[in-house]
Amino acid sequence: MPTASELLIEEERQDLANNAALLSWTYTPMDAGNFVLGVTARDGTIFHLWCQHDRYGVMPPAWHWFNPETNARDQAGDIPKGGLFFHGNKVICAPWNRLAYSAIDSRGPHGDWELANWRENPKTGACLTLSAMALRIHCELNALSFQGRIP
Amino acid sequence: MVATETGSAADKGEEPGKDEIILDVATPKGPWSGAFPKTTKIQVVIDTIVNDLGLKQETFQLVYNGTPMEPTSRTLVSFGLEGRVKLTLVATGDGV
Repeated sequence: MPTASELLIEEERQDLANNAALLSWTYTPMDAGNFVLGVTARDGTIFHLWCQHDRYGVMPPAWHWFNPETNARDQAGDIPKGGLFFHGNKVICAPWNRLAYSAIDSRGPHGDWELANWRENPKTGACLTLSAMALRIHCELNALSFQGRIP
Repeated sequence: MVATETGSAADKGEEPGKDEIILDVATPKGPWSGAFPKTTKIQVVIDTIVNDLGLKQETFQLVYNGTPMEPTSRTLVSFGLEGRVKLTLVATGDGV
């Protein structure tokens, strides 16, 4: 029998799948702890994200940039630049991304954020669901500050 | 799909009335649809969705084709919206 936490995550994944259908994104479930999202940017190209959300709640998910052809993660040509969160370290720099924490990932710019308190971090704002995070990423990919891909 | 501001056109998948706009909005809690008078202010739309979905009382932006619909004192029709339109409700927040 699934736990309450697992049911909540499944509900959030379904909400995201429904948003993806509305916005003509691609949503590909991989397994219970991972999915791939394809989001269109302002230049008309598609950026893919691999979301790993094991232990979601206790800690935020890990949003990796992804290449569905090579299965590689976080490679230069697959990563956007510009926007508010697209850090030069090649990670989305926001408290709702596990990879932004230096305690988790050596590229993470923040040793000053507390992973366990990611929901209470003022910079998290209302990015408290998988859909909210994906919509925020989509917004940045379509903002005037978007500057294409890291070469 | 939820109840609408002005009636049931959005719920039934019908065409909007002459003076209304149907919004299909991707939100932090999945898609939400509603019909509003064309002259509805953006902030009223945001407040309606946030309250309807029980979202955290934080700042949200409505975004249309990549452009935040601001200032929120403007009306739907002033952004050139008509008929049935897809929007996103985006949580603001800082990073970097």
